[in-house]
Amino acid sequence: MMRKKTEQLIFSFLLAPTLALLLFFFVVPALASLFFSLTDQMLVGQRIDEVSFVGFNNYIRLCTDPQVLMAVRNTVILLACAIGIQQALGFFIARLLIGKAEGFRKFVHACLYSGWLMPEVAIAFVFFLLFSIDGLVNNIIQGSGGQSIAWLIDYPLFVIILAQIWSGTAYSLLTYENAFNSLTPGCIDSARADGATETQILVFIIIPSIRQTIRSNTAFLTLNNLGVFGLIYMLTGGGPLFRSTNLSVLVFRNSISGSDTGYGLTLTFILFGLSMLLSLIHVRVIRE
Amino acid sequence: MKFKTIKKGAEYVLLTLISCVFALPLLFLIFQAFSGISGSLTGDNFLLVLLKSRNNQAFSMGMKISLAVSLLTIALSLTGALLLSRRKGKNEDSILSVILLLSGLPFCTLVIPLYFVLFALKLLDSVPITILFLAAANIPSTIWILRQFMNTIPGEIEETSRIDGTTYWVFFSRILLPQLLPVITGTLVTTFINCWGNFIVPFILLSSSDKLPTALAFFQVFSTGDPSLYGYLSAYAILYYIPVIALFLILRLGMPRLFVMQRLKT
Repeated sequence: MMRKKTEQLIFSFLLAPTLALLLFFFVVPALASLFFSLTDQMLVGQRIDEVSFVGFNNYIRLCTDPQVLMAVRNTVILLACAIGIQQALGFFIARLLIGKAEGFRKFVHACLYSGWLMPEVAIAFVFFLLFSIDGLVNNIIQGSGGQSIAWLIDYPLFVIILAQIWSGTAYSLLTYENAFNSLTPGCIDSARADGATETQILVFIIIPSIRQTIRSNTAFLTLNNLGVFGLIYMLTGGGPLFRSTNLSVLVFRNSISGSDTGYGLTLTFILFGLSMLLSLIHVRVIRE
Repeated sequence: MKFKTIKKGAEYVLLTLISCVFALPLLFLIFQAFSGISGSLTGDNFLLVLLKSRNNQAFSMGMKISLAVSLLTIALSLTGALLLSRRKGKNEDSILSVILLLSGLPFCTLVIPLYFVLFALKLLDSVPITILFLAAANIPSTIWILRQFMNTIPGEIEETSRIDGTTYWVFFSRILLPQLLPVITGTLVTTFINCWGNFIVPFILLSSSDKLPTALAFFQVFSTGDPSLYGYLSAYAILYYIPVIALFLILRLGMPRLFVMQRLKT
């Protein structure tokens, strides 16, 4: 009995720093953003010491802010493309890879991994090289007799979506390959023997049996996409005129580089709540 | 039969095309890094990057931060996971749910409010705090992974060793640790890769230029927008990318693909 108690004590002692870390870095920021969102705190300037509670003013201001509207729109577009295109492409490539030679599969994987493994900063730089005014894409267009296009100014969101597809598709590919491998092969063969067409097999057998994978993959992509910051900030800076700003870039612009702390953190708190909600859905899907 | 062969051939062609499109950006980066001013092939850009003391400082800073974070994360997560595995019941289940919940939160929702907390406490621009934050951000998902692996080890092993009279420490170091070694190495390396590539955390928490890791030192040069530096920056990006590829290849020798994928977040 004695021994058990000392063991318990040692473990609690070992666990204390972990709990302290999690508390300080997860709970304190959340509470701080909630607290500041109810005030008119500024980061610098003359009014820095005159902080007063403004109730829900910041939240009301959010609803009528055109920049917020723009950021929400962009976030939704990026999300839809990530979920739709990356997943569809991953699914499609995974389907095609079934039954291909091992060496060839390795080659395809290596090509897709090249984007997945690349650090964010390097991805932003590569896509800048490709899509800047005198970049590779414009050189090709000019070479074939066309007019060069200011991609990063006229179509900033499009370039970001391409960069995300390039770096993110590998994840969906792998998830779906894994799901296909876990299907019982006899099931598809007998359906084929019964005269089912390939479309029928896909719609009535494959998709229902990997439903769980589709759901958890969607939840994961949503959560991951909500937090995209570096790529957008480095590639376009969120501009021009907020046209490629998503919620996390807007949060940064308002609170840290814009010095309107109280207002900026209101948005952070909402983003935090939103990710919490999505994470909750993710957990439920995984633990089902 | 013939139709099938044609179909298979077409699939191979299509896959090759898709792969080439995906490989194109990297190939272009490599080409750019090796091309000199007059269009000739040269390795000068790489030499320039390697010879600059500012870059070496950033490289070693990135290495230090990533190494410290991965070691700290694994040590703390291991104790956490062990403690959780010793208390089974409803409580443990809800704690695990909370841990999984935290592990999904995007970094930016945490690090931006943290900036203001640290601003008030005058703790900004501190490497130890950055390391502690990155460790804290990685701990929940690491505990989750370790816990899943421990679940596959039957509980009878501990009971048997207890009956045989060993202490928990002996059981841990002689029996449990060797079995967990692959997953520990796996999480260690993936945490390292994640920190090595991370941009937002050092971007917000650090500001003195001698404390910046590679990601930020690179971005500083990149954001000047000087076209004459593109070759130099391409070489820089490749040198920054190489450790990730090397670690990934080592990792793939021992770990299943899906494990590696799920641990690496971009």
